[in-house]
Amino acid sequence: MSQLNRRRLLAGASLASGSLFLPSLLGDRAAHAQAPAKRLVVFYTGHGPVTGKWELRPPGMPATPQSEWELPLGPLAATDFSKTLQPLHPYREDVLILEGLALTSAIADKQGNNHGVATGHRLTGAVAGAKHVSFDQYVADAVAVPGRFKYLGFTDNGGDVNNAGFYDTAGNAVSLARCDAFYGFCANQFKRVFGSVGTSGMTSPAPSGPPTGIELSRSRRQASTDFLRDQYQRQFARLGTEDRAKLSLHRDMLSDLGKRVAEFAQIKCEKPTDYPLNGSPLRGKEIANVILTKMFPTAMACDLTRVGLFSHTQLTAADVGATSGLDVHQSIAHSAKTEPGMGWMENYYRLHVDQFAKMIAAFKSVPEGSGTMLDNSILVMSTELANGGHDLYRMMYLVAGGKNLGLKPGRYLKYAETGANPYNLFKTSPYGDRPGGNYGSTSFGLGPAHNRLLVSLMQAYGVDRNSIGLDAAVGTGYLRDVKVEMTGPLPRLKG
Amino acid sequence: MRTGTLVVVLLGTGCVGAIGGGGPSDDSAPGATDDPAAGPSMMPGTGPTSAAACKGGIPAAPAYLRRLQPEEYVNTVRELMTAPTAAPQLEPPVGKIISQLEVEKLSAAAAELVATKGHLTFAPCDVAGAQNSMCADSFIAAFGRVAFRRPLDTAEKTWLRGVYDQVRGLQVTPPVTFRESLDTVAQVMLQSPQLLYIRDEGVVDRSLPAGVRRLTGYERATRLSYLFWSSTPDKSLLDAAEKGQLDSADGVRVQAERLVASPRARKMVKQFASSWLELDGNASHPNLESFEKDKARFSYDSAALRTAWRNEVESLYDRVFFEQGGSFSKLMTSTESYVTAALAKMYGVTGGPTTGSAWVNLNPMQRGGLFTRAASLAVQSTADTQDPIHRGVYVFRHVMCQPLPDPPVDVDNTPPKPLPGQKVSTRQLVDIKTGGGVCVACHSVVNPIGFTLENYDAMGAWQTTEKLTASGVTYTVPIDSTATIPATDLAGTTMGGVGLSQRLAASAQARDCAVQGWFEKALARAPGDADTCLVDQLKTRFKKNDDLRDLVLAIASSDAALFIKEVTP
Repeated sequence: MSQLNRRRLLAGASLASGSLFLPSLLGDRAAHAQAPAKRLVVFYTGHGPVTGKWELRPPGMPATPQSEWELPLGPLAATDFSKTLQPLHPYREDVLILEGLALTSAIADKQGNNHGVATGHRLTGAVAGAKHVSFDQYVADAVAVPGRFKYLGFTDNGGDVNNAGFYDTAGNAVSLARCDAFYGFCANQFKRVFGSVGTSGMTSPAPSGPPTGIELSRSRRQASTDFLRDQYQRQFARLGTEDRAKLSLHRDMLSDLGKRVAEFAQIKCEKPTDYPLNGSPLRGKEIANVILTKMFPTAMACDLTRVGLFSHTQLTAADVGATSGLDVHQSIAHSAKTEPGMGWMENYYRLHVDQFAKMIAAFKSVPEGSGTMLDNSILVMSTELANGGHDLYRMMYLVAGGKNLGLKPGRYLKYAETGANPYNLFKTSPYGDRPGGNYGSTSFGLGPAHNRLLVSLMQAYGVDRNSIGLDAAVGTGYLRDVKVEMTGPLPRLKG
Repeated sequence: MRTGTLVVVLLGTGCVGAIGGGGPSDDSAPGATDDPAAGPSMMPGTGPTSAAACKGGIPAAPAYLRRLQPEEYVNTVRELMTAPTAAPQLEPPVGKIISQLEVEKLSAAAAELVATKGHLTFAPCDVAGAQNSMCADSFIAAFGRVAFRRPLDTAEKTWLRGVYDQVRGLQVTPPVTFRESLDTVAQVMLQSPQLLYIRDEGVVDRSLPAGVRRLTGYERATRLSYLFWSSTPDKSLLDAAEKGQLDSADGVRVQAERLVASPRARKMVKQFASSWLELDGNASHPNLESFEKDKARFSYDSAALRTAWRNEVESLYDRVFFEQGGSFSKLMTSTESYVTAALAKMYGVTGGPTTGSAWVNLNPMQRGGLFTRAASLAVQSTADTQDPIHRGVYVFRHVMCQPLPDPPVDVDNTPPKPLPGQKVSTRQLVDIKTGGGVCVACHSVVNPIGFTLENYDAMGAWQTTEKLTASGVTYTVPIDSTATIPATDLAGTTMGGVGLSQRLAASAQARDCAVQGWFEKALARAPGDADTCLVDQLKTRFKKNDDLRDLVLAIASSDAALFIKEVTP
């Protein structure tokens, strides 16, 4: 024991209650190093693009909702892309652009207004407000490595840290970190993620020599989490069910943290050498750019996490070229059917697509195997609504990368909107509509349910699920025998 | 945040007797259990104060585990580590259950706090010396008493001594120092459930009805301290608990008065004001500072002005609460305003400060009371116009505590815009939009309240006319702020914001609502059935003395704050 250094032994103070500093973790990491890690980033945005303006309508391709076709993006010129999608042109071989999907489960959901149901459904396919698991958490379960961040989630300065109430498979809330001045700037989030990581190489030599202050501090953090787990457990006997659950989850999170502190001490990679804008407040789109193009690519290249979430709240009027201070929700998004609102919302979504394109570029810049990190990653952009007018059908979905995950990017996929529409299931009679509805979609057909895209994405990571959230909407009254199915993978993603 | 739909049912009869002290003593009260943290045995005067008077029994509610809020944690560790400038970065809580992010930040904070060495002052020996088990035990007991807000029990002492023993026993080169051992113990304690969570357990007291437990002196100290100071009990409070001085309602009141007299209590009152006025934002609107306004229209807007807005209303509540007898009437009608030069200019006040802030008197024909100030008016507005609907809903729900159903799902909530050729006011547009169908039932009640505030634009600035635009054509119409309020004891024809404030000052329902608001703040729960008699007593007392400060002290030393209902694990 005499040659063992203090760092390792202080960390080993936890031995009495179960060592966290285990060779098995290294072995686990080594095993994972054999095959490239599979990563997922979900970038979700507010409102929606301008229906009729964002879609590609090349000559010869039918524009009717009923048509279904596919277009290779490679041969297209930048001018063939809509203004909204033009930032994707340099990466057209890397993306799948999906037109025609519907938030079918949200249409079937009779609760709340469209903002509420869309926000709740878009990652879960399920009724808002219930404890539903978002698809990224099923993926996280499949790809996460012990001792790493199971996921990293962020939102901008106005975002909801509660992430619309999404849950993981263990019933914990999926929370997002805010990267603004009040909560410690982006720099602090970078410190949180990269602060314990080494500086170069991917192997860990046996520690030797006196530990640095940082190493001692890290070791003490790990040891303290071990000592605490038992104490949290000890409190259980005195508590009621709800309070016991609170402490039980806290204990589990401490346990995860302890593992991570131990594990990260072993990781060495090319982490950022300076943290972006240390001490400077960032707002909205700037935060998104930092997280999408620096945080996620670097953290995933270092294999600190394999799942990233970014929830982008509303852009400002100035961001989209409108009069500064104009109410974005009421005066811009809701006014997108006519000019100048239409132009502003085109700018709005062009900006988001540009952010997405920049993230693609960042992932593509990391060599991995014979290709790039993008080949082993799927980046998804999901809008809240189909457009500023609250519609829930003909959604725009962008999926990038995934070549080594079974996807065949480089295509525009137009899906036929001919499926059953659950809105009709709630008509009170063949002649009457559901009262009070403003769901934007009434008598016409719908494209595939977005749940099916979520299923395909989960399956790409080996998740053994054929559905998520709502499996079907069943009619009432005279339509009680009618069902709108929402299960199974989305066809055509694999080519 | 208070729920607008919660209505206290008033029973209102048969309730006599004092609130918050001076109640009947119970000489026969037996001692407490053998809980080492319980403090001395029950003493005369420790019995419930309102049990005899209220047929509903003691207003005790179950106590649940509560996690310290970030501000409470920061204040607590500053006190604990004697590090007044410590500023650990924490994550905002996302719900009742802690998030992974919060755990990470708390862990990092503990490591940083230990580096300040503040905990080492609790060690009665030279921490640079050799390992010293006796000193470690003393450190654990002394630091633990402050960190856990009570003396440690035997099991806790054993656990922490075990931490110390394991750390000092590590075979490392060079050996772990005594100081490093204590650092690790402190770091563990800073993340322990006993520090991060508050949960009252109480003790059995056979003088109480079955299922009711008496809070220990330490638990009462904790409640008082986090209510008034958002922080851990100071030495005087812990000592008072140790001496049994908090075992009686009178003793609790004495300490409550000490705490409220401290400058540290003023922040709590200011935060209550901001919360009441919804300045920190909610699902309906952003916070005061980030609420975007039309920059073309309000070119004088600035971050400094927003700060001045918040400071004005917080200062007014603070001044009334602490320096003007806590008068609710004054809060509703005062023309005093703490202004900067920019805010004075916005209010049209001459003689305001050129630098800093100063108290001035506003035009009594234009302003009177809290709800005629820019901060409260601006957050209940849109980016460019006043919003009579939301202003009315706010007053109805949160100042009068009246239930109001949510609007139908998918209601078209876009602000009404004039049609081409129309020359109508905001008020008329609202009337047109909400005057028919299912809307009218609620809007006929709330709109008139909001209409009385039409003289204040989207920034809260005074206006006698307003400019609107229809199809690119701008027109001007006069403001009409006279409205007939149809319901509640505000009912009647009311002229402008000053008229509304005068009605609020005279309103019994508004006072009852203030009682409810402070009850929820002080006890972190809404009043329940068992609280009916107590709440009635509080309302009666408040109507009589018009003193918000006394109201808070009465709640803090009432039976609802001193006893809890047993929870079966």
